[in-house]
Amino acid sequence: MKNLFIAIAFICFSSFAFANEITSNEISNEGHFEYMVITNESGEDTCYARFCWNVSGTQRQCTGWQEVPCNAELELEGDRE
Amino acid sequence: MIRIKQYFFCLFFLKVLVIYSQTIEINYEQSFQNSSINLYKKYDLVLTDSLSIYIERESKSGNKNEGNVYNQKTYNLELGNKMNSNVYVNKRDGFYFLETFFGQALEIKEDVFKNNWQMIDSTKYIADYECKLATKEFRGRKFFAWYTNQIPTTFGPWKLNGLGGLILEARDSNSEFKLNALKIKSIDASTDTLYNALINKINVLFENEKEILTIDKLKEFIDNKNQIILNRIKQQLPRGVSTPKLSSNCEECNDSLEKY
Repeated sequence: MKNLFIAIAFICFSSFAFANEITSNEISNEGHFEYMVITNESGEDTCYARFCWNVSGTQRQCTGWQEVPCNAELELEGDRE
Repeated sequence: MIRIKQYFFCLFFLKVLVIYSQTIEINYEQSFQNSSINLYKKYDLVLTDSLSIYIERESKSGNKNEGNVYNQKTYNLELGNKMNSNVYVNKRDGFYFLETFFGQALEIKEDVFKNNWQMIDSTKYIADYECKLATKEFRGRKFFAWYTNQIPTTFGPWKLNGLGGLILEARDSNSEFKLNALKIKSIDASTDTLYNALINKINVLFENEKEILTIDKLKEFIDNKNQIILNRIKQQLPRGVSTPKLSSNCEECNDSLEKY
């Protein structure tokens, strides 16, 4: 366990980034970003994000987790409105 | 002695005939719960010898469907309305359903279900009905159903059908999907205006074959919508971030009720 990264994951449901964009008629389903931060033993953070949305009431779809800059959410278009 | 036997046989046959030809309404509660989805709904199954309609009538989670309560004559089957009831219909010519995908109510015709139920040597009583257990694999899940031959029918709740009797209880092997019958009552189809209005609505809903999608077309529709979302995400991600792809090992994605 010592050699493993200690995963400190917090998943935030962020409606600010894309929700407004995706609630158009074309994509009327609500989606949201989820974030995960993994901190290694040296205290360095690596940040990951994925986007999830509901296909139907019983089906959910997400992108794969991908590394993003830890301040990525501040740089996304439409986020500063 | 032979006459008495004939009498009892006729009586039994008549009883079966009466049960079989009745229109019955069964109220169910149905839930689907896992790490990312939490649904609890109530459905009515209207059952005749030639047709079954399984219609959502109430929702306790997510959007409140206030306009679709069958018992209050306010069920909602207007296409284009986000608050549509989910409906599953077994007709002579096939199985149809109405569900909402990406906020859009779609009419879909199912492929013929494989009747691959396997009987399990187990019985129990649900209310006064003696029930037998059966199991089948369906779209990525293993389902167990308790059914009673005391109400003979090949129809059933949701997409679980093909057994010889009415399903009163069902779940999947993970106990994420569950349904239970709550109440059974007879309907007088000749006088029940509510029942007749529902039948008419259903006939209208699924009468235009051109508007009805096949399962393959549904998959295409879902893939296209997913791609549109991916493109939107791609356009808005900061530079240097790789192009997003649908996750192949997303735990929650594997939690879908059906894998088409």
